[in-house]
Amino acid sequence: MRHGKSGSIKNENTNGEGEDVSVDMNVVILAGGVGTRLVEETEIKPKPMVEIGGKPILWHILKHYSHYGYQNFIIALGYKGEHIKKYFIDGIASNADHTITSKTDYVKNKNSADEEWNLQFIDTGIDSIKTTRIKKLQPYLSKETFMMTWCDGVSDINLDKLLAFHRSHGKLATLTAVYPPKRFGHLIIHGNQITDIQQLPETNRYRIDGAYFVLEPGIFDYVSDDCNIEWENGPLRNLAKDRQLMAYKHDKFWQCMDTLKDKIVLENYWNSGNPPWKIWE
Amino acid sequence: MYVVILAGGVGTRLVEETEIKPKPMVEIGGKPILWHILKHYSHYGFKDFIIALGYKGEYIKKYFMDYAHLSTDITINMKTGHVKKKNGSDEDWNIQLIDTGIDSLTGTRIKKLQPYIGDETFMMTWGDGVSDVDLNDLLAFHISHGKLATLTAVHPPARFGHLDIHNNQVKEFSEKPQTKEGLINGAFFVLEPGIFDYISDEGNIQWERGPMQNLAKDGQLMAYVHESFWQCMDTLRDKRVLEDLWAAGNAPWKVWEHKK
Repeated sequence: MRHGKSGSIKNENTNGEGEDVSVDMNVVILAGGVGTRLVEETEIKPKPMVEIGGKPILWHILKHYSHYGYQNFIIALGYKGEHIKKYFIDGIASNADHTITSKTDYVKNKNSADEEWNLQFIDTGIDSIKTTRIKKLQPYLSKETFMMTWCDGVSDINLDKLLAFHRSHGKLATLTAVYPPKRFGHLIIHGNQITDIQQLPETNRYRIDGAYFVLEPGIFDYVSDDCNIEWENGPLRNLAKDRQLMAYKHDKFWQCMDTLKDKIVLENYWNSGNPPWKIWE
Repeated sequence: MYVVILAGGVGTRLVEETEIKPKPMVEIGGKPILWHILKHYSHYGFKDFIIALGYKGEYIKKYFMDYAHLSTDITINMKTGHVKKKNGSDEDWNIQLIDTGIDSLTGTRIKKLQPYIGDETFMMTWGDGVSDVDLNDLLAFHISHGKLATLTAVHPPARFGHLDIHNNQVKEFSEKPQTKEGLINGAFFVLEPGIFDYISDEGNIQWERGPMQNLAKDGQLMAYVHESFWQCMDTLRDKRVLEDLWAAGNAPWKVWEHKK
């Protein structure tokens, strides 16, 4: 086992309590989609670069993972991928301490004393669906368990517990199941008369796929079978059918950034000084 | 009867900061969604429109100023600058385009239109959603109950797929169903002038919060439940859904080509 440079977490799997292991597990971030929900055709930046508090949402997600010791990121690029590469390369150029390895798609980014991210940027095609992007990353993921998410939102998921849960059930895939944000404006109607307009009560709500996956290499068999069908509609469905898909229930903070309204919600959290996903502080 | 269309909002859901056009001008099948809404109303004989402008209102004005020219054959005499239209536009619409302020919220926009609406029943909707609501039936319902306000209550399209989980195992991964949620406000209002009393002149008022809640409290807000097609264009994904329906030739809101 290779050892990561800085991160270590408490291993909560069955190997025993309190065993410290370094985290060199790969974290895949799908950052190539066109982003059909936030943006219009005219947009100038890819969704992972949309900023909260002056930092791209991708940066927030990397901070989250690295807080739990994960430093090895494989970032699947596509739509406006050059924008994303430029952001990290410029970040390095503006700080003398940083180095770029000779490997063109490999950037070692040491933005500050407490950040040591190994970022591999892999072009997975402009128009690719997620399934195709995942399949194209297979050569980079060897034969080990890996994590995966996308840049659709932020959360305060405890990644140690997520991994422990994944280890405990032994199936091929874990996703994080969350409650969608509450929506205002549900009508309470009695005989066509509207008596109130309120938020939908918690009990009427259902869980949704909040990403933050833990995956075994065995999932690539499902990806190959269904490489033209979107991840949620093909591979994930078949994993569920084969009883290989488990849900890690996360009840605390989760907020997607599908729309500009969501972005404003996140900005407001950030400006409040106590954003729930800022677990690194 | 006047039909008020609120088309002044910045549109916080579809678009990013960089957008170049106001949301009512986002196109489906090459025509702004606002045009589709006007077609819907005029199909039912409602042709007097008051459009509340705000954010990038000049874009909307320009569209309608050019509409008569651009939608018909024209002859231009380059020497005199004279433009001769072969035919007028096909559309028999009267459109008042009224600036209601860039940052105004919906309630304040409505209030600013009071002098134009006068003391009559009027209809009102947003410039970002289409439906196949039967407007005659809607009006008949409104007249039947005699209250100040009717809204069209619809089932929202779900924004996310649902997970069916048993003992932490995901049993099913469902598509986005039309709804497991309740009914929401789908706009397509019919309103009496009495509603203006519910909107304060002071401050910047959001129609859905104070005024509508107070109307509900006073028993003056009724729901016309519409179970058929309704789709708002909050996101680019919604836009694509609408584009696909249009391209397939069976857009449910294209009531002006449905057989009566």
